[in-house]
Amino acid sequence: MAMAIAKKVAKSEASDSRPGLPEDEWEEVLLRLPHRRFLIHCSTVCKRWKLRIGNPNFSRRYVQFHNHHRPLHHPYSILSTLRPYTHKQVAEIVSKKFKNLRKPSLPSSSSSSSSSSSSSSSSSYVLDSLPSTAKIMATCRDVLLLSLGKNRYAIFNPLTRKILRLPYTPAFVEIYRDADRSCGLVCEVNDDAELSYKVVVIIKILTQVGEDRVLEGVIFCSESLEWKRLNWQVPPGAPFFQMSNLTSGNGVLYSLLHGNHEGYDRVTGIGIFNLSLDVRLDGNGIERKRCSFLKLPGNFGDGWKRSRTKVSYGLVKGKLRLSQLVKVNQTWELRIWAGNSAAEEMTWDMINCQNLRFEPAGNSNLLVAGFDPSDGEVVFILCNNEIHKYKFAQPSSKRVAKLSGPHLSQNSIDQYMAFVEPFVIEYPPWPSPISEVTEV
Amino acid sequence: MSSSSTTTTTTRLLMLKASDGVTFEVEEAVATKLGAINNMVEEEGSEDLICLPNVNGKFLGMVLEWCKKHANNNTNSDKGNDEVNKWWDKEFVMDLDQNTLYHLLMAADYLSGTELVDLLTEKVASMIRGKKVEEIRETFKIKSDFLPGQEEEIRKKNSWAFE
Repeated sequence: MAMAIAKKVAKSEASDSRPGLPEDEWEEVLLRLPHRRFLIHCSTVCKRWKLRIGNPNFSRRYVQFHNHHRPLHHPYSILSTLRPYTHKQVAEIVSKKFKNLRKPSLPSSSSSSSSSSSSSSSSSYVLDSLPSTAKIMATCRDVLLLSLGKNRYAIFNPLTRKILRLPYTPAFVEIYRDADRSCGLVCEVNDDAELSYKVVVIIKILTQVGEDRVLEGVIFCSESLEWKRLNWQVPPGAPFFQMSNLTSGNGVLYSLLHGNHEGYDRVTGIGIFNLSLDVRLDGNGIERKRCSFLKLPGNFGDGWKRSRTKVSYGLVKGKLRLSQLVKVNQTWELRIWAGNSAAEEMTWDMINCQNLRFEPAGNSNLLVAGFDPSDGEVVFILCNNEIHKYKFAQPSSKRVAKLSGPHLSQNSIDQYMAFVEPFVIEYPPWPSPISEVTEV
Repeated sequence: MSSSSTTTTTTRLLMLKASDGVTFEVEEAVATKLGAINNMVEEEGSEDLICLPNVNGKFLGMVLEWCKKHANNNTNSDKGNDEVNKWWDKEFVMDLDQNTLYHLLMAADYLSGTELVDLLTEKVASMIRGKKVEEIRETFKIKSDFLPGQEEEIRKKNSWAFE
């Protein structure tokens, strides 16, 4: 009884001296801030807030709260890069939420950039923070997989600028051309706010091992902290000889596959690389997983309509999307399919098939340069040297980014179109924590 | 038998008495949006008069207004109603002054009105984000108690968050 009263007195004293909320309510408020950036701002408000926010229990609560109770519409940016010539960013699409996230928050004078500054003047958020020799190979969440040379990879968080150089790859990897490799990254932040990740590098496409055709590769896991060989067994008869970099969604990696189709290099299907499936050892003691081959939809346009500038793929809310953008009789038609994997077997649902309500200038070529990772009704379309956000459900378009780069001139863009590769970066409330490991 | 018992539960009225003696007569379905009241009602032999010595009448009235809206709109639950609720919630918190907001939040928390706590804490959070640190202090009347240099140190350690 006496204790209860004492507690009450202490509490009312606190609220007398600082009119406002009891401390426990503040914790609930801070929990609801949509990004860690705001938490850090708050930790400079007063000592109480600093202590509360710095407490590991609070971090865990925050991560869990946002992992489980919040919608998955994170701020994002999409880097359009050219492969394999430069691997340099040529355009950066930035979502509105991301812009809001980056609003200046310094205590006083340094808020020089006015709110009305146009998006094009400060077009580069991510590239500026990249090491100059780095090439982007893959993304997952807010983490980039960078290639720092033939035998060196790193993971990098462009927001916190933390970089982790992975150990050198095994010596045999080095003989394979950098440009021929396909890389993938899978990562997640668990409820204890720790990052786990897997880096997949496919170094040689299609080797005959006995009866089987395999993709040769290596893998690096945050659990083992070492490189291991990992080969992927290809289903018999899967028609491809080239693949794009791997895109990650819900822990699974996808790749657009190219092969010989009636004598031409055409998109033939999508490779699915599921890391959670069992491994087995092959005759040489190398671990091997199976990848699967997903056929294009039944009503997919055939022939030249399958060339790579006509076909794009991406992920929306972790699920596969496929698009075909072709010009027939002076009109552009945009078709979009959504991967439906209710069961083990993936099928395609066509979700859009209509003429593009978008007036490109002159005879310009168009290309789907990316998908909005959370809004299933938005694609990004490259036209001349500009990227437009296109809402296909209620057709409307808006210019959102401009291509620029050392090798790009106005009239060479058509040439490069086949090599545009988008990397999507999503920024969840708790940035993926990256810490240096001590090198052996 | 079963039908008569449902009619009694939907029409049962509860009297809620606030700290300043103001009483409210509300339908049980409305009051049980609040976890604390729901618990009391579920206890065997609860009385129809419930005293709430920690909540002032003004704020209890507002809390109940919110409950009423949400209890009504929840009876026929479809997507359109969800939108209506959201819009109504937005209006509800839009013009609250800080003092009212704080007291409402404390009342909602005391009465275990989880959804309402969520709405109100979200509102306070929206007053924080995007503001500069000085503006946050000013808004919530908090004085910095850092020693010289301490604040700068945090900023240095987390420079990415201030760019």
